[in-house]
Amino acid sequence: MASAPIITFRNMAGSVLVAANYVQSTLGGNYLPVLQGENSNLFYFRIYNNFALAAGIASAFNVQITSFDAISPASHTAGMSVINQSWIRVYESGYGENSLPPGLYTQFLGQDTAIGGSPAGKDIYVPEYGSDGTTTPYIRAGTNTNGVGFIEIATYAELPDVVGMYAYAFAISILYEWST
Amino acid sequence: MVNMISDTIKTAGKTLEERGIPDNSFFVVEFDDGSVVSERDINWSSISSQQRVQYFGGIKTVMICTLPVKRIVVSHGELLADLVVPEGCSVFQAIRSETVILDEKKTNRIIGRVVGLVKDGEVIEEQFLNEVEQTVVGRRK
Repeated sequence: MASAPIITFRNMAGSVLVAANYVQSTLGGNYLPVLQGENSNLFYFRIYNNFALAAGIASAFNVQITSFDAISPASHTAGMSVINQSWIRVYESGYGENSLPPGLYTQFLGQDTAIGGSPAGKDIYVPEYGSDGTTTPYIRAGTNTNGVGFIEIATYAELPDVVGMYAYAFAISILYEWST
Repeated sequence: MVNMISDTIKTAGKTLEERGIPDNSFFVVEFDDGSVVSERDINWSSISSQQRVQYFGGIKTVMICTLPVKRIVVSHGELLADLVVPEGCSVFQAIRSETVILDEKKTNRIIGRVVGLVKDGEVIEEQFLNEVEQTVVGRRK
């Protein structure tokens, strides 16, 4: 270990993700907005550490997932209801390592958890299993013999009854610790 | 000639910035024999091992120093934590980071450092040098 973890969000095929868009969960609703009072579709993404298997990358320990408002993640203001009311829900859906991308996969259904809250980021989700299948919430970097490490997260939006027609933006945040 | 503890540690071979850390964020450790090392010269992984410990009602994974430490000073910008390690205690420290997806952009940033003491497999003190709020907050059992 030596250098900072290289965290990337990817889909199951290994492509980089830059956003999670929640849409209607009803049949044929893939491009339609989520209706008030309903849950969105389920959206899966993987959190990889050191996807490119660079040398000397640190593992990410004590991983936590939360959500911040879109005004400024640094402000922690919880100014928007999507965060304040904890619409965003996540749970671990799998993990894996010991393989080149996209990685060997073991399915695991974690505890469905609302994240965000007020003050923003108060409510966190700690993955039950780490990338190696132990109950340590870490994503190993894969610079030794353990291959590309990842955890897979399922997420959806749970909208209250009275939302109104707006486009809500928010940040998904992964917190972790590491050592040189 | 007597070897000091600091002489036995493998050097990092990279600058702090090459390891992804700002130049003003580092630890300095004083060992029981009085020798001193800085993160500018070594990696924490060279003097520590991974352990799961009790953590204020939960579980936490920490990298505990395997060498006898008398004192550790952790600096992060203007923030500072200075811990004298009591008899029977071990010390851990780590960098705390976050990766955020927002507005179709991913950003990584260091948000601070943690340093703490472990006794009998349990964290008894932890200080968080919080860069976002520019404060040092602590928990003690």
